[in-house]
Parts: sequence; structure tokens; C-alpha cells
Amino acid sequence: MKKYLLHSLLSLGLCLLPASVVAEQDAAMAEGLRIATERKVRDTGWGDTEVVMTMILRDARGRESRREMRTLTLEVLDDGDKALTIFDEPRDVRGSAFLTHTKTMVPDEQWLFLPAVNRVRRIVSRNKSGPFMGSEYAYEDLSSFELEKFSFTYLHDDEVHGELCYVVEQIPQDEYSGYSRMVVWIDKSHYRVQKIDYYDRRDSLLKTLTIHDYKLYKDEFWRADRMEMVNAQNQKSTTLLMTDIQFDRGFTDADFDNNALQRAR
Amino acid sequence: MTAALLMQTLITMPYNVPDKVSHFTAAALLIISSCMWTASTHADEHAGKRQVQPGETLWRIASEVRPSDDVSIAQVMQALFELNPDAFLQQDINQLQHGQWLIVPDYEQVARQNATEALQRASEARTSLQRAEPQWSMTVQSGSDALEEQQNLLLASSDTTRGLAANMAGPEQLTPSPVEPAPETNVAAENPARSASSANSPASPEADNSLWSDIEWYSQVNLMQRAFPQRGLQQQSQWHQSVSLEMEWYWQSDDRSHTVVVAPYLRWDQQDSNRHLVDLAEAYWLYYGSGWEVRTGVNKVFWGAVESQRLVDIINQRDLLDRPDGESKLGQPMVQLSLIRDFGTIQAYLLPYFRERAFAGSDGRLRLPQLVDTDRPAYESSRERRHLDWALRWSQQFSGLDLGVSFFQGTSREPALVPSSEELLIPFYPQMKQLGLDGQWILGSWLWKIEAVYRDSQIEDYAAFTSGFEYTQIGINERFWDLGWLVEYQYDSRGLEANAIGQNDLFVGWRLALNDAAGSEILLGVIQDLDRSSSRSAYLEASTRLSDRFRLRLDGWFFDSKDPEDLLYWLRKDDYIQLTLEYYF
Repeated sequence: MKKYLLHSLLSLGLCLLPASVVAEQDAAMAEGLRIATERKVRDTGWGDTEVVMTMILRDARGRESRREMRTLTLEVLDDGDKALTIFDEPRDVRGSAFLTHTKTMVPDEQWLFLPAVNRVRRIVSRNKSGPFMGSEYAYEDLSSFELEKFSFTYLHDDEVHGELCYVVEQIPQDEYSGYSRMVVWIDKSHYRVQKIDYYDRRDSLLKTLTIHDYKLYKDEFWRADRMEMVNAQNQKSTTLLMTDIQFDRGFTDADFDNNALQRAR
Repeated sequence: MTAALLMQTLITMPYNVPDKVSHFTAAALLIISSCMWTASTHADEHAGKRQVQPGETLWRIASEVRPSDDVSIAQVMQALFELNPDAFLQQDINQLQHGQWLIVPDYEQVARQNATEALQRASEARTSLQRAEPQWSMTVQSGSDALEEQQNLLLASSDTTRGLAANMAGPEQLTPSPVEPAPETNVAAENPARSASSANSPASPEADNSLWSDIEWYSQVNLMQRAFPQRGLQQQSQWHQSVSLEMEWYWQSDDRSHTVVVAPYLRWDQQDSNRHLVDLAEAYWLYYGSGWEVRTGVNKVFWGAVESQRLVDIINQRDLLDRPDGESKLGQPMVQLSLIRDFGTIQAYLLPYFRERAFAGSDGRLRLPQLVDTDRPAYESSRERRHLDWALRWSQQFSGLDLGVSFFQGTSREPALVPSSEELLIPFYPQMKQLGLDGQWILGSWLWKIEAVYRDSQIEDYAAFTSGFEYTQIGINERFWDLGWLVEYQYDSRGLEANAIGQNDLFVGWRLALNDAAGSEILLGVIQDLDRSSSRSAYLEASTRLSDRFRLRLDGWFFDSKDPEDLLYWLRKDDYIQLTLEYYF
């Protein structure tokens, strides 16, 4: 009888085990989504910004080249944000401008303005995994963070830059993303991203982004002054410096259409 | 987008420009710049020094004076800071003051800097002068009242930027109004390098708040060498050198509603005087209001979608002597009004003056056996080149689809060539109407394109279209190269009667983007005539960046035809490759 009871208990346990794993997984996903949502919510309502950026590209031998650009961004509450990037350096691409309408549910829409021929070209936005201006940043790294684009799983806690962080795994929902997954460190104090590990389609570590020198704007929104992307596979790196960040520039949708793209310089 | 950013390009080249070429360029530039800024030469006391211009950042200066690629820009910044402590307000690396003369560090002085520490400090440095300037002006005014007032003013300005009307008044309160610009020569003396991008900088105590200092100035010199493997049908030379200079002055008002652009273009050719050109590529004033804009002056307008030829694009005369594919254009005087509405953008153009097409001279290549007498053009309209042409275009972006419908009425940009004697052709410009359609549609990785026109003139009426797709393979190798496949079909209802290439032709092209730091790209295209199996042409466009200021291009055209009825037949010995070195300053 005892033996029978033991047997039934054992089999019951075996049945319950997968269930508990599933429950744990669900909990981790719920927590991941909670953290990601909190991250998004805390960075909502900022309106518009104009950022002057310098990008320093370093190859494996440490040789540097520089890009200078300005990015105008308009927050869109019920869809992805709109961004217009105007290139100032290097000089052969000066005046080129790149317009992105980030979308949450359908592919982003992108146009490029070529000043030499006054031509606006539509870009196949599937090309999101390609390098941005030859740097270690891909287009998708620079587009606005939208909850709909990922699934989230909370992994564990960790400390980065002296900040206690949630570590969350982010899996892109877009089949054309260049990543199988990203591991994101989000600090507990303000839900700011401190670090991201990007894994390529073969699931080996591709590159690591660290974000430095957060500053508070409008008493509410954190923006970093420096981002470092280091490629773990080819030893190249790219530093992104924000030399000037301005909020409330008074932008509207009209500053982010095809006509604005042709006016941009 | 990198794929598209730079339309052409090539293989990795050594990062150093051949010495001779760079010396030549430097000499040419020296002459030009000394003509333009004679007032800017400074006394010997500033030898080996560099003056900080309004709007310049420490980054920009450091990158300019960097003695070698072995040292980082951050190290140069740190060395500049250490050598010139007085140039920074309160010894703060963020507060570089313009007007200061900086001692430029040599290699040893830079290499001495600890690279890691320098990078750390550099990243802390928020080097925008726009930011530093107001702080400086506060100190200059000295006294806390002035400081408070300044801050209030600054706050006021950021509030007012929200309303358009207020916006107009806002910056002017801060920036003393530019009604009385300082005499030009003085300004030139104060701002020799004029690359002031201080569009957003509010109060500044210096003379640079005058209108002139807000003007940005850019230039580009192109040295071109064309090599033809064979002598021409008329025994023209195999080697053709040319130089062109493109300049641009650009000004925008603080509220971005007014823009003025002036862009002259000069070209000189060693063999063919018909290729000499002094042109105003752009010279216009743009006013942007809420939902509308108006451009007045000389401008270039692009309509179209496909790659292999330009069908719809009609506003500007083409500069076929620069590029045989018509991608190069002459400036067109116009008034352009755009209305931006929910249902799309309506653009109306009034074109009061006509630019004639240029043709190669007797020593030039890529020409017909007869010369074109461009001194005696004939027009259908008695008003000749003063006929008032006009055009209308509606365009709209839908999700994944860009569409444009256009109408043009006026002088044909393309002349009929009428024989006047054994050796001479006279260009005849009829009046014409053109209805055009252009569209691009994105389906996943596929970009579908179409251009179609219907043209009607006293000579002929016909329809033509070009349609096809671009399919891009992303990251084809470990180095993230993108390969785009271009396929387009060209049709012309005139068939073999057409005085054009592309009546029933197939275009296949490949665009390779290396996605490297040099922005290298290669485009190769082949156009095969489906009616005449022996008739085909091919072109190559490749380019790569040599440094921040140099870009190297390689272009080539190849023509093949055995049919004397075919236009290409007369170009059959005119295959060429062209090497272009572009220098930006």
C-alpha cells in the first residue's frame, strides 16, 4: 500500500514538474513584459527632440573615421516614432537625409534624399540588419523602441555601471532582424538601458552596447551622452556621442514628410 | 540605405591620395580660396596656429589638425586643451571660445596623451559651441542681473519657438536684427573659414550674429580623366581631361521658414570647348509656410522612379556632355508653388526661360558624324526661349506606395536635329505636352518601379514606359555586403522609328554596396536591344571614399552596335572609362 502511494505520488510529481516549469516561464515572461512596459512608459510623453551626434568608427587596427549628423525625432503615441537624420560629415554625403516612419505592426517606411540629384528614393526597409554608415550600429539598433517588436523574458538581476539591473532577454518578432536575441540590462532605479548584448542568427555573441553618462531632461526623461558599440567578432567599435540634445523644438508631422526631406540640409 | 546613399563605388583603395594629384588639387584650391578670401590672410604672429571659428567644435578642430592616424581624435583634443588652457573659459574643456588662436600640437605632443584617459575626458566633453556660447556671453556681460536677464530671454525664446508667428519674432529679440550687416570685407576678415553652423545659437556678443556669418559655404573640385581605348570616328583624341568646380552658399533663417541657396558650377575641358560650362546649378529662395512652400529662382527638379533611363523627368535640360545617361542637369529658372495636403502634394511650376541642350564639338567624343549648330537653334514658338512653360504634379505616399502624376506643356527639352547642310544639324525645339506617371511599390524585399509618359508635339505623338524591379540580397557575405538586382523593361511605341535608345530593350543591373567605412559601391548595368541583337550598351559606376575630403569615382560606358540606323552605331568607338577625384572643402 505504501509502495502504491509512493508510486502515485511520484507519477503525480512527474506530471506536475513540466507544469511548474511552464508556470515559471510564464512568470518570467510576465515580469519581462512588465519591465519592458515600464521602460517604455517612463520614456513616453517627451514630444520631440533634435540631437547633434558624432559617430567615431574604429577598425580593428584602431584607425578612426568620423560621421557627424543631426537627428530630428517626433514622438508618435499610437505608432512608431518619426525620425529625420541629416548628414553633415563626411563631406561627400553632406546634405543627404534619411527619413524613417517607424511602424509597430507593419514594416517601417524609409526614404533617402540625395542632394546631388535632388532625388528622393524609397528604401526597402527590410534592410534593417545592415550597417548604418559603415558603423557597428545596424539600422534596427537606432530605431525607436516599440513593445510590439519583441517578446520579453526576465532572466535575473545583475549590476552594471554601479546600478542594480534587471536582465531581460528580448527576442525580435521581425523575421528580418539580424538578431536571434538580445540580452538587455535595465537599471532598477530609472528603467534605463545600461547594456545590450546582441546575438547573431547563429546565436553567438555579435556585439555589445554600453550606454554611459545619462542626463535628465525636462525633469523626467533620461538621455545618454555616449554609447559604445563593440563588435565581439571583428574587434571593430563605434562610439556615438551626443554633442547637443534639445527638447521641445516644436516639430509636427509636416517636418517629417517627403517635402521636409527635400528641404532638409 | 547605405546601399542607396552613394550611388556608385569601388573596392578598397589605399587611404592616401597620390601625391601629385593632391598637390595639384591643393594648388588649385589655394588659388581659388585665396581669390575668395584675400581679406582673410593673417599676420605672421599666428603662424602654426589655428583660429576657432564660430560654431566650430573642439572635435572638428581636433579632427582637422590630427597629425597622424596613429593617434586618436580624443588625444588631439586633450593636447589642444593642455597647450591652450586660456582658450577655454574657466579651463573647462566644454567651453572653447571662438576667436581664440590655438597652438596646434605636433605628433609628439599628441602621442604623449594617454589614449584611454583622453577618450574618457573627450566623451565627458560636451563640445558644442552652441551650448558654450550663451554661458560665455553671460560672463562677458558680468553681473548677476545681466545673467538672469539672459536666462529669461533664453527661456522666452524656447517657449516662443512653439508658435510659428511667435517664432518669427523670438530669435530676433535675441539676435540683433541683421538689417545692418557689417561691410562684407570686415566680416570676411573676422570669419575667414565661415563654416559657421550656428543656426540655432541664440545670443552671441560678437559680430557673428550678423546675417553673413550664418551663411554656410561648401565647395567641391572634381578632376576628371577620360580614357577612350580607340580614336573616334572623326579621329578625335583618346585622352580627355576636365576639371569642374561646384560651390554652394547656403543660408537658413532661425525659424527655418526662409532658405537661400546659391550654387554655381564651372567646368573646363581640355579637348572640347563645347564642354566648357559656366552654370548656375541652383540659385533660389525658398519660403516654407504651414502646408505650403514656394521656391523662386534657379533650381533642379527630379521626378521619377526607375534606374535605367529618365522618362518622366522633364523640368531641367540635361547636361549630356557631363554624363551621357542624362543624370546631370542644368539649372532651370522657375517659380514653384507646393501645396501639402492630406490628399497629397500639388506642385505647380512656371518656367519662364528655356535652357538649350549642348552638344559635343568637333574635337569632342560621343557625337554624331555631323556637328550640331547650337548657335542657330530653331523654335516652334515665336517667343523662342522666352516661351512660358508650365507643369503640374500631384504626388502622394501611401503605405508602401509612392505615386506621382504629372503634366508638362512647353518647349521640348529634346530637340529634333534637322540637317541644314552636309555637315551641320540644326536643333529644332518644338512645343510639346507630356503626361507622366511614376510609381514605386514595396513588397517585402522587392521594390517595383514604373515610369510612363505620353508625349504630343507637332512632330510626333507617342507613349513610352519603363518598368521593373529592384531586389536586394542583404548581407551576402561575412562582411555584410548587399547585392541589389535591377531588372527593367523599356518600351517606346515608335518602335525602331524612335530617335531614342530603349524602344524595346531589357536592362539588367547589379548594385553592390560594401557597407564599409569608405561607403564603397559598384553599379553595373547592361542594356540589350531586343529588336537588334547586336545593339547593346553597358555602364559601370563605382566609388569609394579615400578620406573625409576625398572621394574617388570610376565610371565607364561601353557601346556596341552594327546597325547604322541605330543611334548607338555612332558611338561604337566611344567606349570610355573615366576616373574622377573629388575634393571637398
